[in-house]
Amino acid sequence: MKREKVLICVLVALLILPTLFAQGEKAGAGKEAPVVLLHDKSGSPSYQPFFEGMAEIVKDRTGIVMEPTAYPSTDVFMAQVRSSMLTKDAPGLFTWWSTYRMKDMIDSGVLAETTSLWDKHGDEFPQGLRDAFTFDGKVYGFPYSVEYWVIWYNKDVFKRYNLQEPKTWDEFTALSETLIKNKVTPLMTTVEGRWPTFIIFEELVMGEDPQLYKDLCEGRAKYSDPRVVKAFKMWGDMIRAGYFTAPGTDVWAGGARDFNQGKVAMAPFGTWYMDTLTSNGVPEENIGAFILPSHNPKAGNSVITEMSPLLISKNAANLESAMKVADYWMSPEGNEVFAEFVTFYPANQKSGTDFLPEIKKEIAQTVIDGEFNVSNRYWEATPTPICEVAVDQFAKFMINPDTLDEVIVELDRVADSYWKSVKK
Amino acid sequence: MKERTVYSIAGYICVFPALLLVIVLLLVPMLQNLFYSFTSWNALTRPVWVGLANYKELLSDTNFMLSLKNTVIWVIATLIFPVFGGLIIATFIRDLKGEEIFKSIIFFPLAISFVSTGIIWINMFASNSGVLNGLLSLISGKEINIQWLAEVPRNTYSMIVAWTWQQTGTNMVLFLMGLTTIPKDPVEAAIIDGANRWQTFRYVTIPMLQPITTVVIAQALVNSFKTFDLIYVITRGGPYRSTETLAVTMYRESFTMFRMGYGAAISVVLSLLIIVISGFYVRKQISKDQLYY
Repeated sequence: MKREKVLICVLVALLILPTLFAQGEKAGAGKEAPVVLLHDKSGSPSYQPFFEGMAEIVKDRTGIVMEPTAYPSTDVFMAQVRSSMLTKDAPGLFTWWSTYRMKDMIDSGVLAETTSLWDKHGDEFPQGLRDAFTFDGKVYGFPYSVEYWVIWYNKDVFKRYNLQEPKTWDEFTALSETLIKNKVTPLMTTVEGRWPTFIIFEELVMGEDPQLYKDLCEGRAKYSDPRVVKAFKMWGDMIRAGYFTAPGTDVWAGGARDFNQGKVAMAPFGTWYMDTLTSNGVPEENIGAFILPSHNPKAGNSVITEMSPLLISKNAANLESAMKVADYWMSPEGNEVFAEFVTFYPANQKSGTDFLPEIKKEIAQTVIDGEFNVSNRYWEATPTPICEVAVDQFAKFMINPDTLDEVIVELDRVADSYWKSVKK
Repeated sequence: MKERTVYSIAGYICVFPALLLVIVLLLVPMLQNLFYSFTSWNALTRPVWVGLANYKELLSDTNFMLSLKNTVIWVIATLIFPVFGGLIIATFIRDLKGEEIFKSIIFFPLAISFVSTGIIWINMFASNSGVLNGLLSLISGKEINIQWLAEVPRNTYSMIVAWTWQQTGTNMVLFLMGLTTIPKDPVEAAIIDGANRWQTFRYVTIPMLQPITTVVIAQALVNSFKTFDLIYVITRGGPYRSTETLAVTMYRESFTMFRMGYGAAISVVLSLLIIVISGFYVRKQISKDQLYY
């Protein structure tokens, strides 16, 4: 019996002892820990190798070690970033979305200000870009690239039906009617994934008046404004006339396949969509692009832009190093190096763009030559609490355009409630 | 020290690590969640106490009500299809030639994770590149473009099909286990008394399957109440939140809108629903079983 007691005591001791010695690893004793870069760009294509390539260049140019970490899901990534922002584990750098998508972080005081860096690189970035990162006169984060939103089209289909890139709205509707007559769906759209529902809406409101679009996003105009209602009605008419693919369309691999097979002629997406098309087998020489003409001739030329920001945590353990990395990344060289990795437009206007495919160069030239009014994408330009409801309401409208009245009432309700709460 | 006391102390010490895990990983988060449900919190600042405001908001939130309705549809459909389907299949394939093969085929989907199942069914249901529309187009000889996931309420029913595909196997196996425990005597006695196959099944087999049925239904109830993965992967609760269940709404409010307090309140309601309904069911069944035996 005594032996059993001893055995029990030994077993218990064995169970407990390891916990007494458990201890976290002390990071970087005597040596600064690397600047962690968190991102969610692990899809197809994954940015992880691009960020790793950038880390090597950053180390070479600044001596700072940067450690990119990919998250497989955007939701998990967002939750991780937010939950770490108040702790010492806050990431030095992390990818995010611009303007209103970062506002609650600014309001909560967890982002490091980058005003001094923007002042240093003052003439290298357009004012509009700086504005998209500015709240109450202070600038936060910086863009590593910008993209434009265009209409991608299948050159073969256009050639088959003798169609040209439209210069006016009438030309656009005429070519769409020709496609419909020939049983080709003009435009690819979807409600899948929620966010793509705003694409046509923002184009049509901006095509009415770019200032109206900005006013709507910033609460100076209502969704029941007759000009916004007009845009909605045009959209509804287009849906009824068969301008768009079915609401449940897969716009990624399936969409690229339909585009390649000529079942759908055009795809209204950011310039990044070119990678989706080519990586799914669409030959580059068969891809064309134009910017959607405004339906209101008085609106002039306008185009939507999307910025890809990197933000810096105020509580990051190595904030100083993160700022140094940001300084290099904002420079003409740093911005160009990464833009080349991802084949995007560099945000720094002094960066070279020789690496871009011809078609992207042409789009950029069109924007410059046509003196386009450049506006921020609805997803970022509209406060998140409004946008998150709006994308669902747009989906409802896309599935059944007869719901217009209830959609507008709901959008006004949410927008009014948000702007009222902000003004308190 | 008495030998019994030594054993008691040793027992408590042995249980302590597991108890600690339960306290730290289950009880503390549950209490934290309860606390957050009375606060307004965006996960970036300190939570602000708002009392019952989140619970009051739930009562007037049409999205929450729709989500509750969808959850009820899921619970009912789950009880009808995977549970009843599992019972029917188990009854038919029992003692059938090739039982093992049928069992393996029907059980196989359960070996796949919910996320993979979701991706498989996205490819089945996709309107422009989906297997189902492709198959229907091939059979009918014309282009079929059914909106399996975009139209309400078809999207919910489509996902219930996916759920049934995955869940029926586990119920079938449990019912097969139950069927093997039924003694042959009452069945033979019923046949001798002139009962046909249906009467034997209805009045002998089903009552004798009561204990395993209780387990299957209780498990199906809990699983259907917390259905999340499949819906989140296939539709993310859309379009326009039409396919959200309580678990999806809770996730969306917490991790998309970052209304952690409101999300916590939904999770409290969901937990209470599960505890009350499944607890009530199991309790009732246990007392019935005690009477029966």
